[in-house]
Amino acid sequence: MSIIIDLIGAAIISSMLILMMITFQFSLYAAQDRMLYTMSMTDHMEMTATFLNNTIALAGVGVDPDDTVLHASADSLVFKTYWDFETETYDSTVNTISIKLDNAPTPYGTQILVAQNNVTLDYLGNIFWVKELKFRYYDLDDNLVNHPGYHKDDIRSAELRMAFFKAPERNKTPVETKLQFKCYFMNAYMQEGNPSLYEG
Amino acid sequence: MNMMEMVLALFAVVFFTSLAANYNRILIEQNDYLINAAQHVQATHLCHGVLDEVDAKLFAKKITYNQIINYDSTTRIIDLNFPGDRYELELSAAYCDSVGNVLAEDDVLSMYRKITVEASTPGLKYPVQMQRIYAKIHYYN
Repeated sequence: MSIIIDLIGAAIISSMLILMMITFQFSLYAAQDRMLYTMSMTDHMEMTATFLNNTIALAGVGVDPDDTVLHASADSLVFKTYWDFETETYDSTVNTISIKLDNAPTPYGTQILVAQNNVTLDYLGNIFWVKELKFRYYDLDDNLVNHPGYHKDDIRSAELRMAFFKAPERNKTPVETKLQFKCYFMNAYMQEGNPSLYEG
Repeated sequence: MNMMEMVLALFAVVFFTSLAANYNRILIEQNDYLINAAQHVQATHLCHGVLDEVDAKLFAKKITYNQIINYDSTTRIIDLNFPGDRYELELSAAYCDSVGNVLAEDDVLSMYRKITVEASTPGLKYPVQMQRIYAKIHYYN
């Protein structure tokens, strides 16, 4: 009888061990998945931030720095520039560039829309896996502009707060990452120091 | 329970515990890598932001070329409430040659200045370091 009890005990202990190993193995797979997704997400974050930084740096090309920003709110930024993002050349007419988060989320997350004269730019237009995009604005002396809508002429840089997310296949808990970075209106700064550039 | 059974039970406990500890360590390590990757990108952009700030101020003539050196040995604490981390940025500025080698002696007539920004935060395995060389193209201050 005691041998049977011993055998049952051994079976229970070994099955617990196997169960624990299987559970850990699945956890490792899930962690591996998250790791792979985070790698692509990190790359995506870097790419998005670089694109947006390069775009915002070209705000105000050939425009009076005080007239560069057309609309500034916590959700979107619209600015003027003579730079043509379609052809990557200096344009003869002023262009309006808008950056905002799309209204409706897609299966790939909500996308950032970068549009030139209300036409979404192809190479910049579809930045996916974004959950949140918020703006804060600063003046020439790096002071926060509290009411950007009323003090558009003071804005010389924008701080972007972005949240990205992506749901790995095995583990449904989304990988969420956040990034906060500042983009300077380089051309507006350049024209502050050299007014002849826009005064002609 | 005889002596042999006690030893076997002890072995089982040791085996279970070491297995669990090992798996947990691997999971924690992977989690650390995830946090580190996100912090690395954030730190890179903070460094980039400081270097861009110097560029912007030079463009707007808010600082002169010779004032770049004033950034030397300065520290900035940046509390990012959005990602929820606190970064420390160590800035250093030096006179350098065209490829960034620091000059043996400070030379105010040098055409090049170098700013180095090093960002660190708890959780980031290695500090992120970024440098930019500023070249003087106009001789007016």
